[in-house]
Amino acid sequence: MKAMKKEKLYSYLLLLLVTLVGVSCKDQYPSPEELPSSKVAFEYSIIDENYQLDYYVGASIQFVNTSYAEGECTWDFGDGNTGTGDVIVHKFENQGTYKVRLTVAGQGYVDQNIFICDIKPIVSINPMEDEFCEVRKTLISFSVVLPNPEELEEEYNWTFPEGTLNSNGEEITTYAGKDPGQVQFGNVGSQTVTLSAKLGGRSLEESKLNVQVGYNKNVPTLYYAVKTGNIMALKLISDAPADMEVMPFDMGVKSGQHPLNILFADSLLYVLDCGKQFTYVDDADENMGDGKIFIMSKDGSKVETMLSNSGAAFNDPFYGYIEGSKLYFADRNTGICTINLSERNQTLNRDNFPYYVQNNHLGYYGRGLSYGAMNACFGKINGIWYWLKTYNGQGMFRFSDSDILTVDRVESDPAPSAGIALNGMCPKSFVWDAANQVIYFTIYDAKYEGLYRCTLEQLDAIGTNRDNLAPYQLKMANGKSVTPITETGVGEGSTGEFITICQLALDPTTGCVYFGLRSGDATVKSGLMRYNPATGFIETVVEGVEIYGVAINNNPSKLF
Amino acid sequence: MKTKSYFLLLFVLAASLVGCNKYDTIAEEVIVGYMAPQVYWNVESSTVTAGNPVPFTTQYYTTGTSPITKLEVWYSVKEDISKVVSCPWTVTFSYSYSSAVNELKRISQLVSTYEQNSDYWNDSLHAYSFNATFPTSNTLSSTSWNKPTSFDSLKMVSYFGPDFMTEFKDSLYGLMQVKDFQKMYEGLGLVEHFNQYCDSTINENTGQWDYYFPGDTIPTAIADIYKSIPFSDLIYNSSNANYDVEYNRTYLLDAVIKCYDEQGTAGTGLTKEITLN
Repeated sequence: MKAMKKEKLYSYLLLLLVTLVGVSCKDQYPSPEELPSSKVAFEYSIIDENYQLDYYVGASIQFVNTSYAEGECTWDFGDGNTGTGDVIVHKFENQGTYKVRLTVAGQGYVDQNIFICDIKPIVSINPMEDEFCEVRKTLISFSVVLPNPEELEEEYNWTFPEGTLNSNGEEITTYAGKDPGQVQFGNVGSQTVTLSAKLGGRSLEESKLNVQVGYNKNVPTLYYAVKTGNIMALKLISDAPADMEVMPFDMGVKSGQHPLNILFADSLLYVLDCGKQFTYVDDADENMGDGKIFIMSKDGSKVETMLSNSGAAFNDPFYGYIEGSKLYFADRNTGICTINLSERNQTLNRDNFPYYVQNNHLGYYGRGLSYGAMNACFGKINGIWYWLKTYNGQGMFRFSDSDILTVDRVESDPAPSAGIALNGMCPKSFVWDAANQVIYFTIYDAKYEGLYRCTLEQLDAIGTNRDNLAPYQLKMANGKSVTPITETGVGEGSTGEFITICQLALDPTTGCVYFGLRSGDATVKSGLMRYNPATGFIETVVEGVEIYGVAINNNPSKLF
Repeated sequence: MKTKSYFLLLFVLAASLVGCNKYDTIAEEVIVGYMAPQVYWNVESSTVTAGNPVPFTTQYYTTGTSPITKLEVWYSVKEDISKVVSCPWTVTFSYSYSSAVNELKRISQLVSTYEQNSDYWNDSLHAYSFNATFPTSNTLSSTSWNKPTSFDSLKMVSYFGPDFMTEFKDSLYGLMQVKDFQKMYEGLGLVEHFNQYCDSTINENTGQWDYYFPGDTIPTAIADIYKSIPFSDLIYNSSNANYDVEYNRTYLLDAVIKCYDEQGTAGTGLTKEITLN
């Protein structure tokens, strides 16, 4: 009886398997040619002798069917034209992005983009006598290449920036013709030359040439990272003639998502970009990290990746400090680790980059410093670490290397003797002026926001009373202090991690302290600011830009 | 015995289930075909000015019997466009339009070929090695228009499309409340006494007057003034003396190097992303 039941069961099982075999290797989808198919593919390339990379309007582009599927090929070029055949040549008459479709009869189709560019003049600078373009000295000339296979009539119109002189020393703002001759620039910084051209009466996209014009004396260079823009540079000139404008240099290198700190060492700028997400996020799978440290050469000609993070978003590099051959970098709210300056293309993980110091490896943990205490700038003054915290423990937490515990802090571990400065306040950034023995710092506590300057003794004396800050607050000539935005939804960030003034940089030759301000005061414009000890006031340097990190190359140079 | 036969049949059927070309367990577990050359490369800079060559170094070798014949660099072109437009006049809400699009603009193209040369052998590396460059196109330079101090409506149309300004203005209007109109109109110097258009009641909690439009509908005079405001004024940031518009277009190359042997088998290096400026 039992054996019979078993036999019945096997029979049903057999029937089920036979059915499965019957259907397992056949897709149940229809296969009309209206559907995209992975068996359909094509390639394209320019078959003209010249401009093979440029995909200009009118270029002969060969489309080749490389499909695995067989059948008659029909092409739709997305510009209203069609064709048939395995290999076909097509010319696009207008610039734009076209979706080209290849359909193989009875097999399906594939769409691929092709980007057609309009012809535009290509402008370059001819070799100069000087090593670089120096303000009011170097004469430069230009070369223009305009693809013109049909030999149409060419028209050129140049626009030069204010202060440009021709070879006769006369001011030149525009020039009609292909060769404007030699010119020299009257202002320092990126000078944009624009060339508009017409071909056969048709206006082409204008070309812009960015000429980096250096000063005529060696001076330091300030770098700053602009929100959604590029890394910029500015010569720190204090003796420029009244009629000479000192403008920023566009370094042509993207600032990144949130480059809260940038650091200069030797001839390189290290950019710490904490990625898209820099505030709290539920990164349960620990894969939302996209921060990185990249390195730009001082002239912007080379960019390398030092370290990238694809793990937890909170591990992204937020703040940094360079000492000797090491870069120390802090994550969002746990600790600081190190990387040698010579490293390139490293991937961040805790095995390779263990914490040098972390919250719970300091005697402050549980005594002012809590789990997840939010990081801000950090660095060393006279051999003592100053680690700024803005949430879950607020203040400047000071310690020496010997105070760092190798295991989690226990009750018997004492708090570091250096102590907490600005205890309970929200300090975001600081810089030490060794020559004048003063510390500059910013805080963003409501009603006390601003930039402060005091000695270390005075810093200690402030204690926990915010009212004691008043004598050290720095102001503009109109008596205003600088108030960064700390309003959720208006400024970037949220409680405990507003961008505010996220870095300070000292020019040791003048004692000026530079920073980016996102002003929360409608009467004070945002931009690049500095405190100038010579005037005793905070001054606007570049108006209207939104800035993250700032850094100075103290090695004086005319250009970079 | 009968049971054994069933199990045997079961096994054969199970094997046939996984043995079709869709589920080829053999092909999924082992590499079938020739041994391809190994190639490693490094580009000198991940950011390059459009039109300038990209310097790189490469090392390559083969453990197969077929000698290496050439290397090729291929790249595809991607476009990154980010746009942000904000109205700084609103008080009761933040109004901002933003978009970020990353799109493949051209499929991978052969851009350079490097013939194999036995002189490239490097004893210390146990591999062939050389430095070279590959070209980029001037046409792929980046474009930025960020927080301009003067407004250019032609650029606005070119970068955001012909309907954007109207849509932005209409959409903003639908969200604005009394305080937003007040800040905007007073900030732009459009009215002297905004409260003339409002009714008011004393707020017992704050002791201040609360203003509102009569009948909670926007008065015709207010609507008419709004219609007369040019788009550029809606995005003018008086604090920074610039316009709250950002447009950034950048082209990126996804470049790979391929190393071919005599049989045409190619090994491929890692993809390098290069930003053109």
